[in-house]
Amino acid sequence: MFYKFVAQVKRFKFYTMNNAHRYFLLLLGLLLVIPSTTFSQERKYILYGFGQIDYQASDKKNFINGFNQRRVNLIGEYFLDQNIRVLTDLEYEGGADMSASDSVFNGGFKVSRMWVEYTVMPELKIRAGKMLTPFGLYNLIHDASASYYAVDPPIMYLPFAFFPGIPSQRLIAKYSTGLEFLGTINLNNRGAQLEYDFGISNGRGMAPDGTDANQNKAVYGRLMLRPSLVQGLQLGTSFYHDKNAIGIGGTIDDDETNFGFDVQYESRALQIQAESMFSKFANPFARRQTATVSYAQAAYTLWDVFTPFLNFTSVLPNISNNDHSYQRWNIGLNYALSLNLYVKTEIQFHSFEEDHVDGSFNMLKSSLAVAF
Amino acid sequence: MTTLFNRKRTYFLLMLFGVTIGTLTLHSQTVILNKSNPLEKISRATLRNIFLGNNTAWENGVRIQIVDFSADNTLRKQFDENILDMSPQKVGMIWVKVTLSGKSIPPKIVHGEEELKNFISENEGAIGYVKNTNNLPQSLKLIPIIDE
Repeated sequence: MFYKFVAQVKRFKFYTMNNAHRYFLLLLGLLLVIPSTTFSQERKYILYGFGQIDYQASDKKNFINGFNQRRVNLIGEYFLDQNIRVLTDLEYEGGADMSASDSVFNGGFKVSRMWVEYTVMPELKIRAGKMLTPFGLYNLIHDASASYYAVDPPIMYLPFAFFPGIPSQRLIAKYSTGLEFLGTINLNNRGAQLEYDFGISNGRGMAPDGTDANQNKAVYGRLMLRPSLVQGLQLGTSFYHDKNAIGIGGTIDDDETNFGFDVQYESRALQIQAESMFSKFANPFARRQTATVSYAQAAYTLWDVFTPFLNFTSVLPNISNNDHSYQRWNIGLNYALSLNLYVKTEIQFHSFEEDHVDGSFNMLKSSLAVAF
Repeated sequence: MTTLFNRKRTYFLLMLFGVTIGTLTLHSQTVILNKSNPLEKISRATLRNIFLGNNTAWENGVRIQIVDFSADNTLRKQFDENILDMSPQKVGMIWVKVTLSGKSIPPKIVHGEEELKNFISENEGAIGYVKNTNNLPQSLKLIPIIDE
Protein backbone atom coordinates (compact mmCIF):
# COMPACT_ATOMS: atom_id res chain seq x y z
CA MET A 1 0.00 0.00 0.00
CA PHE A 2 2.76 2.38 0.88
CA TYR A 3 4.52 1.86 -2.46
CA LYS A 4 1.31 2.72 -4.30
CA PHE A 5 0.97 5.76 -2.12
CA VAL A 6 4.52 6.88 -2.93
CA ALA A 7 3.96 6.26 -6.65
CA GLN A 8 0.84 8.40 -6.54
CA VAL A 9 2.68 11.11 -4.70
CA LYS A 10 5.43 11.16 -7.31
CA ARG A 11 2.89 11.70 -10.08
CA PHE A 12 1.07 14.52 -8.32
CA LYS A 13 2.63 17.49 -10.03
CA PHE A 14 1.37 16.32 -13.42
CA TYR A 15 -2.23 16.32 -12.36
CA THR A 16 -4.73 19.02 -12.91
CA MET A 17 -6.36 20.82 -10.06
CA ASN A 18 -9.29 18.43 -9.96
CA ASN A 19 -7.07 15.42 -9.61
CA ALA A 20 -4.88 17.17 -7.09
CA HIS A 21 -7.90 18.02 -5.01
CA ARG A 22 -9.20 14.51 -5.37
CA TYR A 23 -5.96 12.98 -4.17
CA PHE A 24 -5.56 15.49 -1.42
CA LEU A 25 -8.99 14.53 -0.15
CA LEU A 26 -8.04 10.89 -0.51
CA LEU A 27 -5.00 11.52 1.62
CA LEU A 28 -7.07 13.34 4.22
CA GLY A 29 -9.45 10.41 4.16
CA LEU A 30 -6.56 8.01 4.68
CA LEU A 31 -5.45 10.08 7.61
CA LEU A 32 -8.88 9.77 9.15
CA VAL A 33 -9.52 6.11 8.44
CA ILE A 34 -6.10 4.70 9.13
CA PRO A 35 -6.68 3.33 12.59
CA SER A 36 -4.42 3.86 15.53
CA THR A 37 -2.42 0.87 14.32
CA THR A 38 -0.32 3.32 12.31
CA PHE A 39 1.15 4.19 15.69
CA SER A 40 1.08 0.54 16.66
CA GLN A 41 3.65 -1.50 18.48
CA GLU A 42 6.04 -1.71 15.55
CA ARG A 43 5.81 1.98 14.56
CA LYS A 44 6.88 1.26 11.02
CA TYR A 45 4.57 3.83 9.53
CA ILE A 46 3.59 7.16 11.04
CA LEU A 47 1.56 10.09 9.76
CA TYR A 48 1.63 13.62 11.06
CA GLY A 49 1.41 17.16 9.79
CA PHE A 50 0.97 20.85 10.40
CA GLY A 51 -1.07 23.78 9.19
CA GLN A 52 -1.33 27.53 9.49
CA ILE A 53 -3.93 30.24 8.88
CA ASP A 54 -2.89 33.90 8.97
CA TYR A 55 -4.56 37.27 9.18
CA GLN A 56 -2.68 40.42 8.22
CA ALA A 57 -3.44 44.12 8.11
CA SER A 58 -1.16 46.98 7.16
CA ASP A 59 -0.94 50.67 6.38
CA LYS A 60 1.27 49.79 3.40
CA LYS A 61 0.15 51.30 0.08
CA ASN A 62 -2.43 49.17 -1.75
CA PHE A 63 -2.24 46.44 0.85
CA ILE A 64 -5.38 44.32 1.11
CA ASN A 65 -6.07 43.23 4.67
CA GLY A 66 -7.29 39.69 4.99
CA PHE A 67 -6.88 36.04 5.83
CA ASN A 68 -4.42 33.68 4.26
CA GLN A 69 -4.73 29.95 4.53
CA ARG A 70 -0.98 29.63 4.35
CA ARG A 71 -0.49 25.90 4.15
CA VAL A 72 -1.27 22.43 5.33
CA ASN A 73 1.29 19.64 5.16
CA LEU A 74 0.77 15.93 5.58
CA ILE A 75 3.87 13.91 6.27
CA GLY A 76 4.27 10.16 6.15
CA GLU A 77 7.28 8.21 7.31
CA TYR A 78 7.97 4.55 6.72
CA PHE A 79 10.72 2.42 8.22
CA LEU A 80 11.68 -0.35 5.83
CA ASP A 81 13.89 -1.76 8.59
CA GLN A 82 16.10 -0.48 11.42
CA ASN A 83 18.32 1.41 8.99
CA ILE A 84 16.14 2.59 6.12
CA ARG A 85 13.61 5.37 6.46
CA VAL A 86 11.43 7.00 3.80
CA LEU A 87 9.77 10.40 4.25
CA THR A 88 7.12 12.01 2.08
CA ASP A 89 5.82 15.51 2.74
CA LEU A 90 2.76 16.68 0.78
CA GLU A 91 1.94 20.35 0.93
CA TYR A 92 -1.11 22.35 -0.03
CA GLU A 93 -0.16 25.99 -0.05
CA GLY A 94 -1.85 29.21 -0.97
CA GLY A 95 -5.37 29.30 0.31
CA ALA A 96 -8.78 27.85 -0.21
CA ASP A 97 -10.33 27.72 -3.66
CA MET A 98 -12.95 30.48 -3.64
CA SER A 99 -13.64 30.44 -7.38
CA ALA A 100 -16.91 29.32 -8.89
CA SER A 101 -15.14 27.37 -11.61
CA ASP A 102 -13.04 24.26 -11.15
CA SER A 103 -10.73 25.51 -13.88
CA VAL A 104 -9.32 28.24 -11.65
CA PHE A 105 -6.58 26.94 -9.40
CA ASN A 106 -6.06 29.22 -6.44
CA GLY A 107 -3.89 26.97 -4.35
CA GLY A 108 -0.69 25.07 -4.94
CA PHE A 109 -0.17 21.40 -4.28
CA LYS A 110 3.28 19.88 -4.29
CA VAL A 111 5.56 17.22 -2.91
CA SER A 112 7.68 19.31 -0.55
CA ARG A 113 10.00 16.52 0.47
CA MET A 114 10.58 12.97 -0.61
CA TRP A 115 13.71 11.28 0.61
CA VAL A 116 15.19 7.98 1.63
CA GLU A 117 17.63 7.78 4.52
CA TYR A 118 20.07 5.00 5.26
CA THR A 119 21.70 4.85 8.69
CA VAL A 120 25.23 3.50 8.25
CA MET A 121 26.02 3.95 11.93
CA PRO A 122 24.64 6.22 14.67
CA GLU A 123 27.11 8.92 13.59
CA LEU A 124 26.48 8.68 9.84
CA LYS A 125 23.33 8.76 7.76
CA ILE A 126 23.02 9.09 4.00
CA ARG A 127 19.96 10.77 2.62
CA ALA A 128 18.90 11.03 -1.03
CA GLY A 129 15.96 12.81 -2.61
CA LYS A 130 14.28 16.18 -2.29
CA MET A 131 15.11 17.73 1.07
CA LEU A 132 14.97 21.04 2.87
CA THR A 133 18.42 22.64 2.68
CA PRO A 134 20.08 22.49 6.11
CA PHE A 135 20.97 26.14 6.66
CA GLY A 136 20.82 28.11 9.90
CA LEU A 137 18.22 27.72 12.61
CA TYR A 138 15.13 27.89 10.47
CA ASN A 139 15.40 26.48 6.97
CA LEU A 140 14.54 22.97 8.09
CA ILE A 141 11.46 24.16 9.98
CA HIS A 142 10.32 27.54 8.70
CA ASP A 143 7.18 26.20 7.08
CA ALA A 144 6.12 24.63 10.36
CA SER A 145 4.89 27.67 12.21
CA ALA A 146 3.98 25.63 15.30
CA SER A 147 7.66 25.07 15.96
CA TYR A 148 8.63 28.71 16.55
CA TYR A 149 7.24 31.71 18.43
CA ALA A 150 6.98 34.49 15.82
CA VAL A 151 4.36 34.66 13.08
CA ASP A 152 6.92 34.90 10.29
CA PRO A 153 10.28 33.17 10.13
CA PRO A 154 13.35 35.41 9.80
CA ILE A 155 13.63 37.36 6.54
CA MET A 156 16.81 35.57 5.50
CA TYR A 157 14.70 32.46 4.83
CA LEU A 158 12.07 34.25 2.77
CA PRO A 159 12.13 35.71 -0.74
CA PHE A 160 13.36 39.32 -0.61
CA ALA A 161 13.52 42.03 -3.31
CA PHE A 162 17.12 43.23 -3.24
CA PHE A 163 16.80 45.29 -6.43
CA PRO A 164 13.85 47.33 -7.73
CA GLY A 165 12.19 45.67 -10.70
CA ILE A 166 13.79 42.27 -10.13
CA PRO A 167 11.57 39.63 -8.57
CA SER A 168 12.05 38.61 -4.94
CA GLN A 169 14.29 35.65 -4.35
CA ARG A 170 15.69 33.61 -1.50
CA LEU A 171 19.40 33.81 -0.74
CA ILE A 172 19.61 30.03 -0.55
CA ALA A 173 17.58 27.27 -2.15
CA LYS A 174 14.75 26.31 0.15
CA TYR A 175 14.81 22.75 -1.18
CA SER A 176 17.70 20.68 -2.45
CA THR A 177 17.41 17.62 -4.63
CA GLY A 178 20.51 15.52 -4.23
CA LEU A 179 22.57 13.63 -1.70
CA GLU A 180 23.35 14.42 1.93
CA PHE A 181 25.65 13.02 4.59
CA LEU A 182 24.58 13.83 8.10
CA GLY A 183 24.92 12.67 11.66
CA THR A 184 25.38 13.47 15.32
CA ILE A 185 28.60 12.78 17.20
CA ASN A 186 28.55 12.55 21.00
CA LEU A 187 31.64 14.40 22.19
CA ASN A 188 31.52 13.41 25.85
CA ASN A 189 29.28 11.83 28.48
CA ARG A 190 28.02 15.18 29.65
CA GLY A 191 25.84 15.79 26.61
CA ALA A 192 28.17 17.68 24.27
CA GLN A 193 27.34 16.94 20.64
CA LEU A 194 28.42 17.92 17.16
CA GLU A 195 25.85 17.72 14.40
CA TYR A 196 26.87 17.89 10.76
CA ASP A 197 25.05 17.87 7.46
CA PHE A 198 26.81 18.15 4.09
CA GLY A 199 25.24 17.81 0.69
CA ILE A 200 25.44 18.17 -3.05
CA SER A 201 22.35 18.99 -5.05
CA ASN A 202 20.85 20.69 -8.06
CA GLY A 203 21.28 24.44 -7.96
CA ARG A 204 18.53 27.02 -8.21
CA GLY A 205 16.88 27.76 -11.52
CA MET A 206 13.77 27.70 -13.58
CA ALA A 207 14.05 24.04 -14.56
CA PRO A 208 11.23 21.73 -13.48
CA ASP A 209 11.38 20.81 -9.84
CA GLY A 210 13.88 18.06 -9.17
CA THR A 211 16.07 18.74 -12.20
CA ASP A 212 18.91 21.19 -12.73
CA ALA A 213 19.12 24.24 -14.96
CA ASN A 214 22.88 23.96 -15.54
CA GLN A 215 25.83 21.60 -15.12
CA ASN A 216 27.03 23.14 -11.88
CA LYS A 217 25.81 21.61 -8.72
CA ALA A 218 25.07 23.27 -5.39
CA VAL A 219 27.19 22.34 -2.39
CA TYR A 220 26.16 23.09 1.13
CA GLY A 221 26.81 22.16 4.71
CA ARG A 222 26.03 22.86 8.31
CA LEU A 223 27.88 22.26 11.56
CA MET A 224 26.25 22.67 14.92
CA LEU A 225 27.91 22.37 18.31
CA ARG A 226 25.99 21.71 21.47
CA PRO A 227 28.52 22.24 24.29
CA SER A 228 28.07 20.55 27.64
CA LEU A 229 29.27 23.54 29.64
CA VAL A 230 26.06 25.50 29.10
CA GLN A 231 22.97 23.35 28.86
CA GLY A 232 20.64 24.65 26.15
CA LEU A 233 23.29 26.50 24.16
CA GLN A 234 24.02 25.70 20.53
CA LEU A 235 26.35 27.32 18.04
CA GLY A 236 26.07 26.77 14.32
CA THR A 237 27.60 27.70 11.01
CA SER A 238 26.29 27.01 7.51
CA PHE A 239 27.30 27.56 3.90
CA TYR A 240 25.58 27.27 0.55
CA HIS A 241 27.03 27.76 -2.92
CA ASP A 242 25.46 27.31 -6.32
CA LYS A 243 25.32 28.74 -9.80
CA ASN A 244 21.94 30.40 -9.75
CA ALA A 245 20.35 30.12 -13.21
CA ILE A 246 18.72 33.53 -12.75
CA GLY A 247 20.69 35.32 -10.06
CA ILE A 248 19.44 37.56 -7.30
CA GLY A 249 20.46 40.60 -9.40
CA GLY A 250 19.09 39.03 -12.58
CA THR A 251 22.48 37.78 -13.86
CA ILE A 252 22.33 34.47 -15.72
CA ASP A 253 24.21 31.57 -14.10
CA ASP A 254 25.41 33.73 -11.23
CA ASP A 255 27.92 32.23 -8.78
CA GLU A 256 26.30 32.84 -5.43
CA THR A 257 27.77 31.99 -2.04
CA ASN A 258 26.28 32.26 1.44
CA PHE A 259 27.78 31.86 4.89
CA GLY A 260 25.71 31.85 8.01
CA PHE A 261 26.41 31.94 11.74
CA ASP A 262 23.85 31.27 14.40
CA VAL A 263 23.54 30.97 18.13
CA GLN A 264 20.65 29.79 20.23
CA TYR A 265 20.15 29.52 23.94
CA GLU A 266 17.08 27.75 25.20
CA SER A 267 16.14 27.15 28.81
CA ARG A 268 12.85 26.34 30.45
CA ALA A 269 11.46 29.86 29.94
CA LEU A 270 13.95 31.81 27.87
CA GLN A 271 14.85 31.49 24.21
CA ILE A 272 17.45 33.72 22.58
CA GLN A 273 18.33 33.40 18.91
CA ALA A 274 20.66 35.40 16.70
CA GLU A 275 21.78 34.77 13.14
CA SER A 276 23.73 36.49 10.42
CA MET A 277 23.96 35.54 6.79
CA PHE A 278 26.57 36.90 4.40
CA SER A 279 25.61 36.52 0.79
CA LYS A 280 27.71 37.19 -2.31
CA PHE A 281 26.01 37.73 -5.66
CA ALA A 282 26.08 39.93 -8.74
CA ASN A 283 23.94 43.07 -8.94
CA PRO A 284 21.95 44.00 -12.10
CA PHE A 285 25.14 45.57 -13.53
CA ALA A 286 27.01 42.27 -13.08
CA ARG A 287 29.17 43.74 -10.31
CA ARG A 288 29.73 41.57 -7.25
CA GLN A 289 28.41 42.68 -3.90
CA THR A 290 27.95 41.25 -0.43
CA ALA A 291 24.69 41.51 1.45
CA THR A 292 24.19 40.83 5.13
CA VAL A 293 20.96 39.83 6.76
CA SER A 294 20.86 39.51 10.54
CA TYR A 295 18.37 39.23 13.33
CA ALA A 296 18.23 38.80 17.08
CA GLN A 297 15.21 37.56 18.95
CA ALA A 298 14.34 37.06 22.59
CA ALA A 299 11.30 35.20 23.88
CA TYR A 300 10.29 34.50 27.44
CA THR A 301 7.59 32.03 28.44
CA LEU A 302 5.28 32.85 31.33
CA TRP A 303 3.11 30.23 33.03
CA ASP A 304 4.17 27.76 30.31
CA VAL A 305 1.71 29.21 27.76
CA PHE A 306 2.28 32.96 27.19
CA THR A 307 5.43 33.84 25.30
CA PRO A 308 6.05 37.49 24.51
CA PHE A 309 8.86 38.01 22.02
CA LEU A 310 10.89 40.81 20.52
CA ASN A 311 12.77 40.64 17.25
CA PHE A 312 15.09 43.01 15.44
CA THR A 313 16.04 42.34 11.83
CA SER A 314 18.49 44.19 9.63
CA VAL A 315 19.05 43.82 5.90
CA LEU A 316 22.02 45.49 4.28
CA PRO A 317 21.89 44.72 0.55
CA ASN A 318 25.43 45.94 -0.01
CA ILE A 319 27.90 46.26 2.84
CA SER A 320 30.10 48.65 0.85
CA ASN A 321 27.16 50.96 0.26
CA ASN A 322 24.60 51.54 2.98
CA ASP A 323 21.87 52.66 0.60
CA HIS A 324 18.55 50.88 0.74
CA SER A 325 19.18 49.24 4.08
CA TYR A 326 16.11 47.93 5.82
CA GLN A 327 15.22 47.32 9.44
CA ARG A 328 12.30 45.69 11.10
CA TRP A 329 11.18 45.50 14.71
CA ASN A 330 8.64 42.88 15.71
CA ILE A 331 6.92 42.71 19.03
CA GLY A 332 4.42 39.96 19.64
CA LEU A 333 2.82 37.34 21.80
CA ASN A 334 2.57 33.60 21.30
CA TYR A 335 -0.18 31.83 23.23
CA ALA A 336 -0.28 28.05 23.49
CA LEU A 337 -3.96 27.14 23.37
CA SER A 338 -3.00 23.53 23.95
CA LEU A 339 -0.13 21.24 23.16
CA ASN A 340 0.77 21.91 19.48
CA LEU A 341 -1.90 24.59 18.90
CA TYR A 342 -0.73 28.19 18.99
CA VAL A 343 -2.20 31.64 18.42
CA LYS A 344 0.33 34.31 17.61
CA THR A 345 0.02 38.03 17.09
CA GLU A 346 2.75 40.49 16.30
CA ILE A 347 3.17 44.08 15.21
CA GLN A 348 5.91 44.69 12.68
CA PHE A 349 7.56 48.07 12.15
CA HIS A 350 9.23 48.09 8.73
CA SER A 351 11.59 50.92 7.87
CA PHE A 352 13.69 51.60 4.80
CA GLU A 353 16.64 53.93 5.00
CA GLU A 354 16.01 55.54 1.62
CA ASP A 355 13.04 55.99 -0.65
CA HIS A 356 11.58 52.64 -1.42
CA VAL A 357 8.65 51.71 -3.58
CA ASP A 358 6.70 50.60 -0.50
CA GLY A 359 7.99 53.28 1.84
CA SER A 360 8.14 52.49 5.55
CA PHE A 361 5.05 50.81 6.92
CA ASN A 362 3.60 48.90 9.85
CA MET A 363 1.86 45.58 9.83
CA LEU A 364 -0.28 43.54 12.19
CA LYS A 365 -0.06 39.79 11.75
CA SER A 366 -1.89 37.01 13.49
CA SER A 367 -1.61 33.32 12.96
CA LEU A 368 -3.19 30.09 14.11
CA ALA A 369 -0.63 27.31 13.88
CA VAL A 370 -1.19 23.65 14.56
CA ALA A 371 0.88 20.49 14.48
CA PHE A 372 -0.90 17.16 14.59
CA MET B 1 28.52 28.27 72.15
CA THR B 2 26.85 24.93 72.59
CA THR B 3 23.55 26.42 71.40
CA LEU B 4 25.26 27.84 68.31
CA PHE B 5 26.87 24.48 67.61
CA ASN B 6 23.52 22.73 67.98
CA ARG B 7 21.88 25.26 65.69
CA LYS B 8 24.57 24.71 63.04
CA ARG B 9 24.16 20.97 63.38
CA THR B 10 20.40 21.33 63.01
CA TYR B 11 20.82 23.46 59.86
CA PHE B 12 23.26 20.93 58.46
CA LEU B 13 20.89 18.03 59.14
CA LEU B 14 18.00 19.97 57.64
CA MET B 15 20.08 20.73 54.55
CA LEU B 16 21.12 17.09 54.25
CA PHE B 17 17.49 16.04 54.59
CA GLY B 18 16.49 18.53 51.90
CA VAL B 19 19.17 17.33 49.49
CA THR B 20 18.19 13.69 50.10
CA ILE B 21 14.51 14.40 49.50
CA GLY B 22 15.40 16.48 46.43
CA THR B 23 17.50 13.67 45.01
CA LEU B 24 14.79 11.12 45.68
CA THR B 25 12.22 13.36 43.98
CA LEU B 26 14.58 13.98 41.08
CA HIS B 27 15.03 10.32 40.40
CA SER B 28 11.58 9.12 41.39
CA GLN B 29 11.31 7.74 37.86
CA THR B 30 13.37 4.80 36.71
CA VAL B 31 14.51 4.33 33.14
CA ILE B 32 13.22 1.17 31.58
CA LEU B 33 14.68 -0.61 28.57
CA ASN B 34 14.27 -3.78 26.60
CA LYS B 35 16.35 -6.59 28.14
CA SER B 36 18.44 -6.89 24.96
CA ASN B 37 19.73 -3.33 25.30
CA PRO B 38 23.33 -3.56 26.60
CA LEU B 39 23.13 -0.23 28.48
CA GLU B 40 23.64 -0.62 32.26
CA LYS B 41 23.28 3.01 33.36
CA ILE B 42 22.44 6.31 31.75
CA SER B 43 23.51 9.88 32.49
CA ARG B 44 21.03 12.71 32.83
CA ALA B 45 22.68 14.47 29.88
CA THR B 46 22.29 11.43 27.62
CA LEU B 47 18.71 10.99 28.75
CA ARG B 48 18.06 14.64 27.94
CA ASN B 49 19.58 14.25 24.49
CA ILE B 50 17.45 11.19 23.84
CA PHE B 51 14.18 12.68 25.09
CA LEU B 52 14.75 15.93 23.17
CA GLY B 53 15.43 14.08 19.92
CA ASN B 54 19.16 14.75 19.67
CA ASN B 55 20.15 11.08 19.83
CA THR B 56 18.34 8.85 17.35
CA ALA B 57 20.25 5.54 17.61
CA TRP B 58 21.93 3.46 20.31
CA GLU B 59 25.64 2.78 20.13
CA ASN B 60 24.92 -0.64 18.63
CA GLY B 61 23.04 1.05 15.77
CA VAL B 62 19.53 0.12 16.85
CA ARG B 63 17.01 2.91 16.34
CA ILE B 64 15.90 4.61 19.55
CA GLN B 65 12.15 4.50 20.05
CA ILE B 66 10.97 6.81 22.79
CA VAL B 67 7.83 5.96 24.71
CA ASP B 68 6.26 8.73 26.73
CA PHE B 69 3.06 9.67 28.51
CA SER B 70 0.66 12.39 27.45
CA ALA B 71 1.49 15.94 28.53
CA ASP B 72 -1.11 15.98 31.31
CA ASN B 73 0.31 12.88 33.00
CA THR B 74 1.83 13.62 36.41
CA LEU B 75 4.79 11.30 35.87
CA ARG B 76 5.51 12.97 32.52
CA LYS B 77 5.39 16.41 34.14
CA GLN B 78 7.85 15.30 36.82
CA PHE B 79 10.19 13.76 34.25
CA ASP B 80 10.11 16.80 31.96
CA GLU B 81 10.68 19.21 34.82
CA ASN B 82 13.32 17.22 36.70
CA ILE B 83 15.28 15.54 33.95
CA LEU B 84 14.72 17.74 30.89
CA ASP B 85 14.34 20.94 32.93
CA MET B 86 11.40 22.04 30.78
CA SER B 87 7.63 22.07 30.83
CA PRO B 88 5.75 19.42 28.81
CA GLN B 89 4.48 22.30 26.63
CA LYS B 90 8.02 23.33 25.73
CA VAL B 91 9.11 19.74 25.21
CA GLY B 92 6.14 19.35 22.84
CA MET B 93 7.23 22.40 20.86
CA ILE B 94 10.80 21.11 20.61
CA TRP B 95 9.47 17.79 19.32
CA VAL B 96 7.48 19.56 16.62
CA LYS B 97 10.76 21.13 15.54
CA VAL B 98 12.70 17.87 15.74
CA THR B 99 10.04 15.91 13.88
CA LEU B 100 9.32 18.38 11.12
CA SER B 101 12.99 18.94 10.40
CA GLY B 102 13.22 15.23 9.62
CA LYS B 103 15.64 14.55 12.46
CA SER B 104 13.59 12.01 14.34
CA ILE B 105 10.08 10.74 14.80
CA PRO B 106 7.95 11.82 17.75
CA PRO B 107 7.72 9.67 20.89
CA LYS B 108 5.05 7.05 21.05
CA ILE B 109 2.45 8.28 23.52
CA VAL B 110 0.97 5.66 25.85
CA HIS B 111 -1.84 5.89 28.35
CA GLY B 112 -0.33 3.99 31.24
CA GLU B 113 2.68 2.16 32.57
CA GLU B 114 1.39 -1.25 31.47
CA GLU B 115 1.10 -0.11 27.85
CA LEU B 116 4.56 1.40 28.10
CA LYS B 117 6.03 -1.84 29.41
CA ASN B 118 4.34 -3.83 26.67
CA PHE B 119 5.74 -1.57 23.97
CA ILE B 120 9.27 -1.72 25.36
CA SER B 121 9.02 -5.51 25.71
CA GLU B 122 8.33 -5.78 22.00
CA ASN B 123 10.84 -3.22 20.72
CA GLU B 124 14.58 -3.68 21.10
CA GLY B 125 15.42 0.02 20.88
CA ALA B 126 12.61 1.38 23.04
CA ILE B 127 13.16 3.52 26.12
CA GLY B 128 10.77 4.91 28.70
CA TYR B 129 10.46 5.64 32.39
CA VAL B 130 8.21 4.25 35.08
CA LYS B 131 7.43 4.76 38.74
CA ASN B 132 6.05 1.34 39.49
CA THR B 133 8.86 -1.19 39.21
CA ASN B 134 6.93 -4.13 40.64
CA ASN B 135 6.17 -7.29 38.65
CA LEU B 136 8.60 -6.40 35.91
CA PRO B 137 8.49 -8.90 33.01
CA GLN B 138 11.66 -10.81 32.12
CA SER B 139 11.87 -8.94 28.81
CA LEU B 140 12.53 -5.63 30.54
CA LYS B 141 15.25 -4.12 32.67
CA LEU B 142 15.67 -1.05 34.82
CA ILE B 143 18.77 1.11 34.76
CA PRO B 144 19.82 3.92 37.10
CA ILE B 145 20.13 7.57 36.14
CA ILE B 146 23.55 8.88 37.07
CA ASP B 147 24.81 12.43 37.36
CA GLU B 148 28.10 12.89 35.49
